[in-house]
Amino acid sequence: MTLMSRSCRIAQDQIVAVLAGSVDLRDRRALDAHAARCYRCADALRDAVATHVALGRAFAPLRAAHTLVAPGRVRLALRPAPASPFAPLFGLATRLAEGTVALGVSAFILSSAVAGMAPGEPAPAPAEQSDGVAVHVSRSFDDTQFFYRWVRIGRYAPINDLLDPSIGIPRGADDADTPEPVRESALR
Amino acid sequence: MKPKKAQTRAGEADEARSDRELVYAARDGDTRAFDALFYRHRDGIFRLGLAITKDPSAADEIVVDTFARAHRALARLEPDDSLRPWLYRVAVNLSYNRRPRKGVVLSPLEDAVDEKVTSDEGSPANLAELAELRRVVLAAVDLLGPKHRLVVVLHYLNGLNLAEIAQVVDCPIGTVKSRLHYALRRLRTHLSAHPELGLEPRAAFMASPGRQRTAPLIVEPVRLDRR
Repeated sequence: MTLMSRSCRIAQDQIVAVLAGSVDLRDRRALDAHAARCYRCADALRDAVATHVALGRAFAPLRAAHTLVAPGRVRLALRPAPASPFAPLFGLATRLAEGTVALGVSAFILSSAVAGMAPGEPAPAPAEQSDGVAVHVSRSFDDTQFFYRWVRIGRYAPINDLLDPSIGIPRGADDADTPEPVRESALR
Repeated sequence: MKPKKAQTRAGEADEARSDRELVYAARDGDTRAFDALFYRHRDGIFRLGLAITKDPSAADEIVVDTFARAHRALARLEPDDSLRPWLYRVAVNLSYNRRPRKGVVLSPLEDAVDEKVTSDEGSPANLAELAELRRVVLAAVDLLGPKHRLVVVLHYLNGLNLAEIAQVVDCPIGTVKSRLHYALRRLRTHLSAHPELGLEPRAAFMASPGRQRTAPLIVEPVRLDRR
């Protein structure tokens, strides 16, 4: 730890005041006189001045920064939100609608749960997968319970035949509509 | 042309009025007086917000929020002469509330300002040297603690004197002095690691025989752009 005299302590305190320009001429002369005698304080003063100058130069371009904000934005920020005279009624209607929906959903969930627990008809047979289409079937067939499921599969002529306008497709060969012949150039 | 002339004359009259007069006029519903206050202080608040948040859009919002608070507080504002310390205090609080969260990487201050500041005149070499000095110094300022950094920014960027800084940070002038002194010492330590910047007066002084000075040191403080 470095021991400092009282005058050195005062000088160190005054360095910042000198740099900030808030020291009168008498104190400044006193500081200069002390720095002339004490090399430690002279060093400190020189370092402080060098840093002060560097800071001044570094911050100089930043001091030119400016904003284009207009006072109108402050007025906008201060303006209260417009209050509608029907706002309380609208709020009440909204709350009622929300309550009704909540009650309806709760009743539906409760009734579904009660119906699921009650003994009744057996559960329907599981769906069977057929050609990518789910079809419900009944396990037990009788004369009164049968149905057809007719899947219509269109067959189209080979592409080479379609491109040749001289080859006609016989009507009624399948259930698909006869496609129009397309010229090869149109496909490119 | 007449209304334009009248507007110009009114604007000049507003500029001549002190903050205290403008606050009293704005309190009586004079919108133009409040606008004059706004135009007088908006750039300083913007720079302060920019220095703390490093985000120009956040700094714009800080300007708006600060004056919105000032408008709400018009009835109880009693500025001695300048409203600046009060406004800056509000702006500092708002800026620290808007500081980026940890992990969010924003561009450094010099990058944020580069877009807004036109380059000074000078040779490319001088400009490059100045840019390097600015980069190193601002990086060193960023390494300071928040209290010391705030004092440095208020003094060197906003040009506040010690008494005004004391009002902004709400502490005695002696504390401001000691913080500034400590900040300068720390910065000096950081800058001494960059001899290419030519900030080595101590080395030059130590080379002199006897380490004794005969002529008094002439301290010329850098002129800051004070308003």
